[in-house]
Amino acid sequence: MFARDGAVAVNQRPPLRADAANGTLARCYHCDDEAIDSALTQAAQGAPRYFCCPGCLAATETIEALGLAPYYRQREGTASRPLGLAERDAALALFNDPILTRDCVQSHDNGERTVRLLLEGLRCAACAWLIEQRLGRVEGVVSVRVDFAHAQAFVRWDPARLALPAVLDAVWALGYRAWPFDPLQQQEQLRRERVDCMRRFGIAALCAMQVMMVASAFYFDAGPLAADEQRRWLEGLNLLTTLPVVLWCAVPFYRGAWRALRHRLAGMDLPVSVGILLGFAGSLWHFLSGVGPTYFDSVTMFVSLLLGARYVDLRGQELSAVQLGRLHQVQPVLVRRLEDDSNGTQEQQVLMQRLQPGDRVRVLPGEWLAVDGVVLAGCSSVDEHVLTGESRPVSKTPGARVLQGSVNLDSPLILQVTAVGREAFAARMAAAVAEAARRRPPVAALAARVAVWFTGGVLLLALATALFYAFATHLPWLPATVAVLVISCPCALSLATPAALAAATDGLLARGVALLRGPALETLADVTHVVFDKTGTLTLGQPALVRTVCAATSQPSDVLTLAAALAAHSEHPLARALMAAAPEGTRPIAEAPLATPGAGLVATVDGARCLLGSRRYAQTTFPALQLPSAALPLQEVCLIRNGEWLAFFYLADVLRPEARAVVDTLRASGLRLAIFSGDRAPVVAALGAELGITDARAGLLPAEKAAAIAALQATGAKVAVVGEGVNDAPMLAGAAVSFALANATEQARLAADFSCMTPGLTPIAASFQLARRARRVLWQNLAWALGYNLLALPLAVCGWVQPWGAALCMSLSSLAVTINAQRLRRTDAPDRR
Amino acid sequence: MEIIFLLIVVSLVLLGLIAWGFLWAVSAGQFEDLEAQGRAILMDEDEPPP
Repeated sequence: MFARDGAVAVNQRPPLRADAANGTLARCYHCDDEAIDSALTQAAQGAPRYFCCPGCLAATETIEALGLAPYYRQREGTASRPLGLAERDAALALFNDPILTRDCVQSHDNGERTVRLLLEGLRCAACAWLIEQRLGRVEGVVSVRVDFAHAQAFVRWDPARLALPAVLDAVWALGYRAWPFDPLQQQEQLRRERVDCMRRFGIAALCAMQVMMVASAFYFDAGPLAADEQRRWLEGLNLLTTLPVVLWCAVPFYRGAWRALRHRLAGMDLPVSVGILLGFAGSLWHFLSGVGPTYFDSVTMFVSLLLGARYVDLRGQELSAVQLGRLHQVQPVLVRRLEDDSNGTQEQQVLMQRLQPGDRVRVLPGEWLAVDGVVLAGCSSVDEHVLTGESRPVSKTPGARVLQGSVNLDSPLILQVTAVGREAFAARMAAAVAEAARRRPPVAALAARVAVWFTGGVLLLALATALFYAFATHLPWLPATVAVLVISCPCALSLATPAALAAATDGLLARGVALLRGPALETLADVTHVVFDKTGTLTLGQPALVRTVCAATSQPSDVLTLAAALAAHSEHPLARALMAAAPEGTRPIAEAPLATPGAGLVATVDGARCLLGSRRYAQTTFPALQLPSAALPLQEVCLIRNGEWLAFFYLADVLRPEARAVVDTLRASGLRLAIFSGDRAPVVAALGAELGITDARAGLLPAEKAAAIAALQATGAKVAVVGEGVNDAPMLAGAAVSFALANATEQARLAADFSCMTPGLTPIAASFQLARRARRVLWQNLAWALGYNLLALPLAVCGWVQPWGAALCMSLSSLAVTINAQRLRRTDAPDRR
Repeated sequence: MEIIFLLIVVSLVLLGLIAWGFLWAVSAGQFEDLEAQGRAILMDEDEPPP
């Protein structure tokens, strides 16, 4: 089994150093990397071109041979270095196996097939153009469409003339990577909804323009045009053009309102529908009776603005869904299956999808477990923290159960497969997530609640007007009543609320948080409790150096540099932590390293024999060695040179550097904090004490975490949950609002409302502050819209405002509301509490 | 006065044509990628393969 990134080595290159002070360093024409090998030079008109590797040279040659050279003039970023031919073949040959892509490839009647590819390495529009042109010229490709916004390509090809690996290779050879992928159901659904919304919006906007064109003549009506007959004909035209808007375009609002009524939930759609239907019915009545004004212009404009806002919202949701869909790309994962035959036991690499329960597989140290299983042979420790929250490696002996998603640390294990694919532990967790989501409290969106109050007020006002006109005057009561309804409702609801919410969503994105479920933003402002997971959320989820104990003869910085030189030869998490802790600068080179996986390694540094590894490994390698007893009860690594110990390093899963500040900020803004962890009680209690969080619960199973959240919410608390592991997913799904951190697993991301893209906890605090600001702006907008209407209405009724003046005031009011909302997009302004 | 009947008919026909064009454009996927056309102009493919 290979590392989690898939079977293929990522074409990593070291970051370019900015020390090219002499300026003579040759740069690769294709990828801008250092071009050291002078053999790879291409003579071109003007200056010669240098290349860093044969892959880049081949890529440039391909691009130029196809006449695609404009790419180099138009690109805004440099390309990535393509893998060599042999590496690409090795990686892509696996795609010949149809079992791998059965969910991604669609067959057509004439035998052609379509695949959806996810592209990596797109920098600018020129990249998308290049890929589209390159694929379009591959023999056997029928059609190509590259979608730059979503970094996807849709390729239709003829399998009789071309195999799927060749399609992929055309992209890979240019330095990009393309993976077939299976879009989430949700993404397709959102796309259909967005296209439907676009149709309705377009038609509504067209009709609104037509209606407005005629209606504006009435605004400036100076007399002659008001000849009754002409007026009636033009109003008839307006009625005709309003019909499709009210009967077709606005249908989603009616459906939403009906659903809300049936489930007795307050929703925005209900007041909106009431506004549309009353405005239309009143206008229709006025038209038929021939008395009073019509409001067809207001009704159509209202519907088209609302549909526009809905379209923007759906597009944002679709982009978020695409981000999530990236997790569903199909990468070949190879496993080492053991097979018995006449010659004994053979090891064979097969695709993970080919495994059956009962098969035996071997997992080397550092590899990721692709299946659930039982240990048959071997003793090792595995890192299960994304699955259980346990921060220490867990030791596994024959008979122990191991879970998909954990990482083998120490030595090879032979497993008997118990579950693969959808049956595996991580997949079964999805069922627990769905169960918790069913118990989630119903979302009472802030805007919806405000809208209900607001509409209630407007309806009361309209009723009062009607009663006043009916009993206190001799005037007809309907015109004034409809005027109150039509003039006060639309502007506030169609602009004030959606503008604030859309701006807040964008503001969140600028702070590194993607909103995956719309109403969550409004719920966030009402949260009373915040519950954190521990391992990987409050802590880094990986070991870090806590303390170094040196022998009297050595200096801490020297021993760390030496340890890092040795650790560079190991992939073990402890080795990587030591590398990260070592000071920057030049390091000695460790020669002839001899590693014992999971235990340590021996190498020669500056002529001295050095060892880095566990205490037991040191004792077995140098039996005569005298070692002091452990200074701390933590994970321990010792460094030995020429048979003498130099240092002991103690490592533990430590608090994120920003955790304290974030926790303090949240507490200062009046939130109650808690930790629900799957880790052992002493560790959790110590961490809780360090952060001043008294409610720190330990040893919880995933379902228990979700139950604890449900219990908390049953007492009336509104709970926000922050987590990242598979074991947090049910808790995230069950909470009123939930965040998945940037390092979160797929399960956690799918269960959460907010998905962080910036690493760490900082985005969490920013989100809370932004949600509160958004609520303030929302109230300001509604107050402004209502206040303006309350002021303008009586003036207009009394005939003190000329029509052009009213139109101007209306536009200025809308503008003020929109501009006020834009303040939420700013990231430079300090977020006040 | 008669001109108004002509105007009404003309505007309805025009509206219908534009609406039909718009619906066609949406179902033909014309709005799926708004950046592609803009960049296609900049990329001249006039250079013949050598």
